[in-house]
Order: sequence, then structure tokens, then C-alpha cells
Amino acid sequence: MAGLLAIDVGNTQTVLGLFEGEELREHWRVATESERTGDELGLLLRGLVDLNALEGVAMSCTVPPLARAYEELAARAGVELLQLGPGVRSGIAVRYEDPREVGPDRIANAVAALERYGAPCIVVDFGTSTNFDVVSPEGEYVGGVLAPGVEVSMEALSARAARLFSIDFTEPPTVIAKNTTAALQSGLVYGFAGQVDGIVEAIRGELGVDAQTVATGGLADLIVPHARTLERVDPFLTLEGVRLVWLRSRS
Amino acid sequence: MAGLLAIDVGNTQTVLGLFEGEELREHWRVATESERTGDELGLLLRGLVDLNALEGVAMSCTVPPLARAYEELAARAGVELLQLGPGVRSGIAVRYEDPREVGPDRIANAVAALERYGAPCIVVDFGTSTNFDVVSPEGEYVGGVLAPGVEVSMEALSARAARLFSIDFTQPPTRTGRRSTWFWAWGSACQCPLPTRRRLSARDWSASAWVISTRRTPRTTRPSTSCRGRSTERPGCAPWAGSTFR
Repeated sequence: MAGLLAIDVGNTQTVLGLFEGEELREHWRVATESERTGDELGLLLRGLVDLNALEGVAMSCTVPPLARAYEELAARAGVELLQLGPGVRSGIAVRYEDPREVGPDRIANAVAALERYGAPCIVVDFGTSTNFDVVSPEGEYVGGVLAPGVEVSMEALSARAARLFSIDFTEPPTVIAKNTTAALQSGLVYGFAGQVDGIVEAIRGELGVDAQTVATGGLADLIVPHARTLERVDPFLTLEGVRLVWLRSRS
Repeated sequence: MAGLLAIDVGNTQTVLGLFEGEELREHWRVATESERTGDELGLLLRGLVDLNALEGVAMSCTVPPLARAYEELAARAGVELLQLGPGVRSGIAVRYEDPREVGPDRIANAVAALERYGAPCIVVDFGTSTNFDVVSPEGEYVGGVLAPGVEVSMEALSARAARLFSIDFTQPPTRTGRRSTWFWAWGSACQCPLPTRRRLSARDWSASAWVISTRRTPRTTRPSTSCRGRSTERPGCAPWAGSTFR
């Protein structure tokens, strides 16, 4: 089993994918626990793949302590680990004031979207934050928008409002709700869909072109049917970007 | 000083207003602390107004333990306290599955919007949650939408994302801004009007429904939203400029 293990460490969840060539053969989703040590991560990964049979491991990590833990793991296991970040050739120009400040997942999304769908393109990634990343008509990464994520916001609301509570993440029967559960579901579905539409339209207005869109992230399937600006869902876009950067860094 | 002390206890902040007749003469905003006792609340209120000179105290309370504390305070101070809720005549029909479930602040918003702006009307209240409350063309309260509030969501994001942090709530220079600090206000600003818009067009109320925002967060939100053009303008009552405590 030669292949690439691509890892996308988000603030809440970590997605792992095993690529053979261009094909994503396996994928897993685990909770991100920022206290994990390299040895613990080793146990986890060895339960999923044969680390020493891999051609390489590449990752995007937005949680700094875990970046170190994965480095330790790679050193002990004797595998080569590529961490996406400044200095790694991604094949996309990054027009950001301080490129060290951009999350590597955002660059991975832009790289994969440019490769798969072409420029201009807006990636909407539903994670701990809802990220909007913009590839300009010239094929450059030109920044974007960070908004509070769906789950984070809903959890915070039920924690802070005395008479509100956690709900199932499903679509309510009507927009104008007549009970609290449905009202919260309506706020969830139409609120975040409306947020996406508002931001995408504003980005398109500022770009001056009708950039295409692609959605990714765990809750994309819930929001996309209600957001008129979202054209498609690509659930493993970030992993694909990690793979592309890994490939480019080797050539 | 005869008058009414009106109190709006939200999950995060409490707004108090002193009315003389129809006129709001004074208003105050304090943090809501759900552990406060009746005696503590008494100290607070006595610092603001002469309780025993009031004609009455009326309140909307969304934090159940504080409803009890205010009752204790009222009993000890010998003032009459009206708590908005089921059984209190509001003058608006409430079409909700279980009327006991609707926050009294939502009914208060609907009552005031119907009185001031007429039906149909949508109130957008930026608090701990962003509430959308709908008064139908028939002038009935027909429910609405509860979305995570602006401040609550932003705080939760900076608490949960390792590399993100708290920002000032101001408009960014560009929407595809190139510094993390600018981005977030935008996210929340865009969220609010769109579900309203969707419903308006779905029901063809778009020519006549009012949209009124309230509370203090809209200062960030207002200039960015695109809802404005869908609301009917009436002389002297610009949509988005209305406020229940202004």
C-alpha cells in the first residue's frame, strides 16, 4: 500500500484521507483534541494505515500544538511529513498582507478549487468558522471572509440563553416557526444560508465578476440546498488541496 | 415622579426605561446576572428611580430565575409588578403552538411594531439570539425565527478557534479583506436580513411588510444589509431606523 496520507486538522475535527495516485481510497473523521501527544497520534494513525508503507504524509494544521505533536510522531515513525505553510510551494500566489497569517486549510481549498473548477472561484468551508476563500480571475488567492461557524454558534446560543436548548440540525417545516425547536432550526438553516448568500454576493460585487462557488465541510449538505449562491458540494476539497500541494512540493 | 418603569431582561443585558405617559424619559442598560437576588436588584433599581413614586413596574423577562428575584423585590418594595406572559392581555393574537413557549420580549416587540408601524411587519431584534418576529397582514403574531446572536457567535468563534481572536465590531475596508481582523463583522451582518427577504418574496409581502431592527448591534449591521430596498419607506419612519428603546 503505497500512497499519501493527507490530514486536515481543524479546530473541532480532523479529517484524514488515504490517496493512491489521484484517488481518495479511504477517509476518516475524528475529533481534534489539542492535548494529544505524538505518541497518541501514532496509535491513532497506526490503527488506520500502515505508516511505513506510505510514500508520504502531508497535512494542513490550524492548531499549533498539534503541528508539533505530528512532527514528533513523524520523526519517531521515520515518515516524511509535509506541513502546509509559508515556504511550501503551493502553486498559487497568495495576496495576503502577511501570508503567515492565512490558515493552511484556506490555501489548500483555494489550490484544489483552482485546479478542479478554475478561476474565479469562491470556496465556502463550513467548519469551526465558516471560511470564504477567493480565487481571483487571475488565479491568485486574494483573501476572504471568516464568519462564526454553524455548530459553534448554535452551541454558544444554547449555552447562553436560559430558555433555549440544543436542537437536531434538520430543516424546519416552515420558515416562520411556531415552536422554539422549529424557530431555532429555521435560524440555523435560513440564517446560515442567508449569511452565505449575502457574503458571496458581496464578494462577487467586489470582484466585479460572477465567480463560481464550491462548498465543503461537515455541514455543507444541510445549508447548500437553501443557499442559492452555492452551486456544488465537494466534501473532500481540503484533502485534495493538501494532496496537490504535496505533489507540487515534490516536483 | 409618577411613571412606569419598563424592564426588558435579556440573557446578556437588561434594558430599563422610565416612561412618563408615552414618553421614554430615561433609559439604562446593565449586564444581566442570573444569580442576582431580589435584594440586590432592589439596590440597583433604587439607585436609578424612586420605586415607590412609580405608578407601576412592567417587565419582559427571558431568564426564569430573575423573574422570581424581581417578584421578591416587588413584594418587599410594595410595588405592583406586571410580568409579561401567558394570561396577560397583550392586545395581539398569538398564533404559536404553545404560547407559554414564546419569549415575552418577542411578544412585546410584535405589540410595539404593530402599534407603531402597522401590519404586516417583521421585527429583527439583535440580542443574545437574533430574533425575527412576524406580524401577519391580519395583525396577528405568527411566530418567527431564532438565530445565534452576533456577539454570542463571535465570542464563541474566538474561544474555539486556536488562531482566531476577538475583534472590534466595525466594518472592514473590503469584504475580501486581507487581514483576519477585518473579516468577521461581515459574516454576522449578512446573516440577518436574508431569511426575512426570502419569506417576503415567498409570500408576496415584499411590497408592504415592514422590517424594523432593534437593539444596539445594528449600527454595524445596518449599512451592510441589502434588505432596505425591499421595505416600504414611510415618511418619518425609515425602516432600520426604528428602535424600541431610543
